[in-house]
Amino acid sequence: MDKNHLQLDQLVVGYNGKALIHGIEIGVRRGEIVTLVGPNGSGKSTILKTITRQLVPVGGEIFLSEQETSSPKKLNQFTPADLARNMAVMLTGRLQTELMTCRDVAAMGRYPYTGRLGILSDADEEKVDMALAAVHARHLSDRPFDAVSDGERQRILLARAICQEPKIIVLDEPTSYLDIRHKLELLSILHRMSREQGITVVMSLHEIDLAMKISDRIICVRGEEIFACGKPSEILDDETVRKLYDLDPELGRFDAENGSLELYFAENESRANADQPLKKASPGEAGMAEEKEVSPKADQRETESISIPRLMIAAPGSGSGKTLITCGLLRLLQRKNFRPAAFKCGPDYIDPMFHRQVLGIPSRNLDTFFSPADSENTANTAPATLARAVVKNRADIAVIEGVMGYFDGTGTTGMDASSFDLAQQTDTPVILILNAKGMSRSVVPLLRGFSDYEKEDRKIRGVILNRISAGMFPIMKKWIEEDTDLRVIGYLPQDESLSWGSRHLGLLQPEELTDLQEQIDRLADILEKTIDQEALLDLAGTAPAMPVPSWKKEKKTNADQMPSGTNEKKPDLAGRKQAGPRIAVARDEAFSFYYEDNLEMLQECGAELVFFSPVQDRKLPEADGLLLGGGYPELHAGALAQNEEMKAQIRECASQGMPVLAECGGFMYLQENLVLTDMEAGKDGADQETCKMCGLLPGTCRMTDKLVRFGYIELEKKAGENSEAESFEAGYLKDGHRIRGHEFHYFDSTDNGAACTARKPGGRRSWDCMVVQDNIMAGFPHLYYRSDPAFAEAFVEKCRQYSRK
Amino acid sequence: MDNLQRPEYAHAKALRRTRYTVVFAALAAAFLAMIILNINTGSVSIPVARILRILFLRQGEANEVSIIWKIRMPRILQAAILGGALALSGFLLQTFFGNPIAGPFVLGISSGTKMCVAVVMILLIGRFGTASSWALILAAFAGAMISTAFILAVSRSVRHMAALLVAGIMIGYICSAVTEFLVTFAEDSDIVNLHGWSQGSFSGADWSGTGTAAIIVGIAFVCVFLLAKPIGAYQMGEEYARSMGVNIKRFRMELILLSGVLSACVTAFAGPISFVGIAVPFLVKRALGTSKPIVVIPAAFLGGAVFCMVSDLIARMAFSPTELNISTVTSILGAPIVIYMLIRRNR
Repeated sequence: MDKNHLQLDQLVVGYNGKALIHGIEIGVRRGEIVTLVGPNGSGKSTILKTITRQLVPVGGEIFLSEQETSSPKKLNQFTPADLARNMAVMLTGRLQTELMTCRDVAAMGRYPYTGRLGILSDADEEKVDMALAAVHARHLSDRPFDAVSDGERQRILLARAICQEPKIIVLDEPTSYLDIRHKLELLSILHRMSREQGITVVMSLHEIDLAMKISDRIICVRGEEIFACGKPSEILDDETVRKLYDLDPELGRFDAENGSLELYFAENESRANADQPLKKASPGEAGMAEEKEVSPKADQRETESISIPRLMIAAPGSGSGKTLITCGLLRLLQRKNFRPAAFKCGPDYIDPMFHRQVLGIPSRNLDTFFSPADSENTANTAPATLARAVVKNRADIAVIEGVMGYFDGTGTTGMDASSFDLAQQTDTPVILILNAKGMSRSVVPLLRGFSDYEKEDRKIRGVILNRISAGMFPIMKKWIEEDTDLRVIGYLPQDESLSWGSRHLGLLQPEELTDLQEQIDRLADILEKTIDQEALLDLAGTAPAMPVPSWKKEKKTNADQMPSGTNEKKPDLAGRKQAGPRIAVARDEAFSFYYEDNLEMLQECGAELVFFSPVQDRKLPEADGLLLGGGYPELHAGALAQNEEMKAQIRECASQGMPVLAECGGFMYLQENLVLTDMEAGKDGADQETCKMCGLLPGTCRMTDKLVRFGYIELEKKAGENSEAESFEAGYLKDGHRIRGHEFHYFDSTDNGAACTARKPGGRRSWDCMVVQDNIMAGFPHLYYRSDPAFAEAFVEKCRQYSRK
Repeated sequence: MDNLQRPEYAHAKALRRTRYTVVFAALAAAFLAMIILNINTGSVSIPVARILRILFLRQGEANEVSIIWKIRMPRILQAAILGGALALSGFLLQTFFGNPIAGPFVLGISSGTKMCVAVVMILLIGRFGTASSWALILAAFAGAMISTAFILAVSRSVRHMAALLVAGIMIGYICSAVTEFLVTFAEDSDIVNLHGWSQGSFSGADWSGTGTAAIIVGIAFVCVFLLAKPIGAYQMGEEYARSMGVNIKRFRMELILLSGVLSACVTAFAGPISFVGIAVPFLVKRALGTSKPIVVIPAAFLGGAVFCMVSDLIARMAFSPTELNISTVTSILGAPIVIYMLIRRNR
């Protein structure tokens, strides 16, 4: 049985019977180091004083167990002498010690062990000596206590506490008056005491970085309750520290990874001054970092071009290690205190989600099919989308991950929508990831081939060799740099452990998340050594200013305030009469596929987004519209089916005329049945066969064994002769407008709808899709709203009308 | 490591021990010297040889025996005992308030005691004609406790020690004013007693009084000595003392009670005497070079005794036959010391 050494049980602390902090429930194990952190006046000292019996608890109990085998006793049942043998303290505040020498003060610690008159025996004297030696203060023995420096005084007081031979030591800001050296010394002594002698340490510190490094557990104290309690790595992230200390985000932040305080203005200054603490991968390469402005914040004013260092990571084909290396590089950039914005070429949802959830970096899709260069809507070009994301997230470097092979585009026709196309349109330097396993010299012609194929406008500038050995690297680098004009940025050695399994992402579980993060950290560790970071940044910096045709023309409404990548529900805006319509957006483990730009577009049209979970929540939030995106409803079919209340609510809202927009997974959810086959069932007690979904739309969805109607599409309204088009007044796609999107699903429905025609680029194949029924518009296609702003506007407008009813 | 350690601290320890021995020896010598001097001094001159015979053989002229035994000895002893008591009382108050300028007189405790004694004395003598020393002591004790309670109440509301001292002085004034008031309206006979007593003098010493004082002070001394350990811890501050196992509530009570008893005793027998409680502990600590209670307590007692005996001698003989108020003498001797203390502190 692992009993706690000290147990705070529903403790309420305060002065004079007035509670300051209540509900304190903490158990401290033997030998643990627990640190309280929090702003001034938050009550840390109050808690400590209550533990040391200086203050009487206002409520609750404190239990202390003397030996490992004894049962815990209430703190107030200890006699003062007994408690003194168990607990020693070190407090703030000056002492008036008159003529006491340092040794006298230290020897005071023997109080509980000396006789009636307090005369020290030889054994006591020895212990005093040892304690003084432990704090390196023996030379101060005969000096008067008030004649030594603050730091020396603290050490003597620590020696005193050591002399008391406690099992638990309580310290109130022990490092306050100390310089760095003494801080470290004191904390290292405490650490030794905890580890070697099993002494429990409970203290309060102002220096969060030290607290993080030394503590087994951190308790954040703020306000009326304990703010957070747990391992430093778990609870001390930038966000928590910001909330705990009420930091002004304009001024700076606390970088939890490095445990340092970052000042924004200082950050920019130092990096602009080419004073970059980066390591070079290969020794012998001379040269300092150039004076190039590597990280100015993106130009925010309404100008014609934007200056942002950027890179594309592309590859000859899938499976080269592109994703792996991109993630590793992003983590590396994070470590170097950059604020990267990540992008994924193409329509895929998974990689941006990965960037957001695992790395914590804002990420969105860049697709030149969705956002063609000749688009009339100038806000919907790739450069505009890139610029928007960079500005919104205050990023100082952009990393675009390519898709498939560098030149692979929309299938059979040209190179449209390929990574190459995107690199051209955004004028981004490209680094090619080459899987060079089993190759040596042959990498050279491969690379030349790729480079030459670009013809005039060469974007490929660098290469990273994957799966080669450290020994081969210098040789291959030499070859490449002699025979091509590419720069070898670095390599990644072969490492089996570095691959994560299926990137079948819904919302990640915490264990999966930690696992992945650890792997990425390891990857970043490796890359730190094998990548020439300066060359990397230099290359990013060669990206010229990107011309962006008036990308900031629309009035921003809600888009700026809430990053739509979060799961937060917006606070109740009952007071704001001019608030836009609220759209309930499904977001949980079953529904998670949304383009950032789509959600942003809705906000720009004036809508307010509120997120809910069809799996977990029993009720829809108050809303004027419903958006159901794609995801993995088949994996949570059972839970969705069992959530009758939610389904009923959706039906009811729809019947009352609430506008509904659904795609892919959301579409499947609205239909009558979802039929799972053997391989998918059993996930959460689902029926082997049929799960009842909302039943709002007719149809049954069934799994097939291959992708159905896969690929890019362009949607337009069908010419209105047939019956379904009669109710087309409620459709959001206007006559003559076309909206772009793509389809990616293994499921198919018995009723896919026929309100629209979907056409593949190149015009050869087309099919019917989209069910439009009163106020509902749903179908398998994933739509990209920016390709037709009128669509989003129509939806939001319908929601607005509904809200006025 | 052992061998390297022992000589170091043992050396320092030996040095300190030596110093203590020297100081104690000096004090003892001074004590004896003062006794001798005091015995020898008086308006009637008696040669040393005869003094010795009277003291040790109880042989001599009835007159001289009377003088020695009935007048001089009790006075000397009382001066010694009460001097020691004052020093101890001061020491206890300094520990309690954590300030070396605290003392029974300066905090107004003596004056409050005096006022209470005056009231009781006038009442009792008015009713019963006499006032036994026990009654006076009890009255003095009550007065001491009341004044101490008042000072305690004030000390809770003020942060600065200086404010506390000012309060004490004010209390002293108020109590003196009240006492004066009573004196104005009392019977002549009462006044005589009161006045003589209130002057603060050992001249009224007799064996019964001295004996009582000796018993009370003796017991108090032992109690204080046994408190040496927690007092030492308390010097580090209340929080640390508590964390080391001192029962703070009980301890503070004990301090206040003992201090009250001691100063009440002095005031009851000799009236308010100033500055001994502050000057003596200070001097003794400086001489010893330490503030360790276990050493300071006996030394302060001895020192107080010596100090008072010296003052008494001066009071008696300086302007013979007029006897000075002993407070005058102790002030002249003690105040400069206190001023010196203050100056040193501010440096």
